[in-house]
Amino acid sequence: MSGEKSTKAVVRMLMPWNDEKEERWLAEQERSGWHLKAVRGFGYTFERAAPADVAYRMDFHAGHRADRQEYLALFTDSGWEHAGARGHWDYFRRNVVDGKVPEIYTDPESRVAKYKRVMALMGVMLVLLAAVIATKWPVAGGAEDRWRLVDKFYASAFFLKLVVMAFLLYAIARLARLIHRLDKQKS
Amino acid sequence: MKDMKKAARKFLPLTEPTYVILASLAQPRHGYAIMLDVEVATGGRLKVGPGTLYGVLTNLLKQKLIQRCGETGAGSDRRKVYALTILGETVLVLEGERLASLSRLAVDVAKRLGGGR
Repeated sequence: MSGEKSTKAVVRMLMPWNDEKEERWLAEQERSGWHLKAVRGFGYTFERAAPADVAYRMDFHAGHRADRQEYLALFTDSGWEHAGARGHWDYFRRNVVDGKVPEIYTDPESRVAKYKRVMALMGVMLVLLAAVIATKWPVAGGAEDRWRLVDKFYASAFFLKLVVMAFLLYAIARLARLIHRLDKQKS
Repeated sequence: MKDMKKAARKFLPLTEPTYVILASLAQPRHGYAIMLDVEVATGGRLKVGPGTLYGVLTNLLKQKLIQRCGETGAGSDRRKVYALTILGETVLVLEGERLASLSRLAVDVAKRLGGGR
């Protein structure tokens, strides 16, 4: 052995409007001999392997848990391996044969619907966060000095909440633009 | 029956993948069997990916045009089987009539244009 590291962990935030870029990046890793071992909350872990031509596709699944087995079976039956999940995002992969990759979304309407699901979830998160900021939840009915302690904690967390809110707003704007672009391609 | 037709008309026209998936369910099938059937029935012209199929099935279930009717296989090969509801059958037939009248028109036009050349 050359003494090179055989595994690596990569911290990577997921930008939901850029999922195709993420798919290409994962394929690039495989081509350069890093096989995706696991999808983690913070990013990915890879292990050394022979360079391979592997296609990745990401799907945003917002269905019920009871549906999950049925959902995954549709992918595995049609030749996709489930490579991992991160939040509501599922990662699928398959070997590329003759340079051809079948798509998991075969019509523009269902592709748009996927991004609309992402946007809807982010919208809900944004509203919840705004509600938390507006009501200072969860401090219902505390004593005087408990209030002060909560205020201190709240002040430190306030900035963080604003940052998250700004990110959500930005993400929703980017998704809206992407959906608009896809809608235009349809007609 | 009249009410059923009235309710069914609200779903028309269907998108092409929706129509073909619904047509495939004229006989109860599980998910992957639908994908295969669609490809065969359209002579390979139309393929339905798993992401698209899941979305269409979810919508059709919500609209009560199809229902789950038992399972096939055992263990990890167990698959849910889908079938048309009465409403789904009505929608499929009405859309079929609409498409048939369009295709008569299409054949007619093609003949006339072909004859003109």
